[in-house]
Amino acid sequence: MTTSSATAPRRFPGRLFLAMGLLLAVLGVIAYVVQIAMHNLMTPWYVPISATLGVVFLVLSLWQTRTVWRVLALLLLVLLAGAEWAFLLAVRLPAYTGPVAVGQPFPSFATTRADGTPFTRNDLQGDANNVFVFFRGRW
Amino acid sequence: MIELGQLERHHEDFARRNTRVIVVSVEGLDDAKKTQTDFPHLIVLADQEHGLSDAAGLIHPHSAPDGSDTDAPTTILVDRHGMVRWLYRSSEVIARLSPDQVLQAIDLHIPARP
Repeated sequence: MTTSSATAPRRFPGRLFLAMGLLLAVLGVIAYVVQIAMHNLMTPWYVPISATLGVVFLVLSLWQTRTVWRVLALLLLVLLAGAEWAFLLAVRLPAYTGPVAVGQPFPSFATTRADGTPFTRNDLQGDANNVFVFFRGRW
Repeated sequence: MIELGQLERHHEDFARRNTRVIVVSVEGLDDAKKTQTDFPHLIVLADQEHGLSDAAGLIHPHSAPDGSDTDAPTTILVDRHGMVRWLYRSSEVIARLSPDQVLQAIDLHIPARP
């Protein structure tokens, strides 16, 4: 009798690695959606990291069995991880070197309130302190 | 806009510290009016001519999706005498301070009046 299941060849070796790799990449994106839904604005470094780990698992999967689908999945995941790293690294801001300095008066300026009335440095002086929050826009 | 919503929800905390929250972008009056309607407790400035953004050196060139300029996300604390007490800018465009972090900065850098 030679029917031991322990010695039977596996039909899809590396399938677990394939599933884990894809799952990691998808989980990273889902986690980011959840993060934004929770109004948490930290930098999501975990997104490209999880996709990169997914690439590692897919390479392990390919190591065990080479199929066209796994090669395609690996290529897609490499593109995804690359795009995620590129986005996070490309959107870095240079250090501030402008004229605003702690301990100095805020520079003179003139701009406009939402109701069309003027707003200048003189409007900063009075009873209240002020926090300026510069933001990119409504989009 | 998530950031502005968070600040709006904490408006009472800022009022307790006698601090106005002034939000600035280089968008025009129409957009600023919508923002003001959405966040009535914030002071919204329409800095379309860059009068404030240039004075503060905060223009991030060609960074909008359409290639136009935007303000680099930055938070500046100015006391009631017009003196700058604190400036924060993340190295990452997509990172923002939480309202609690801004409130902590106020407590740290502007002593309460007796």
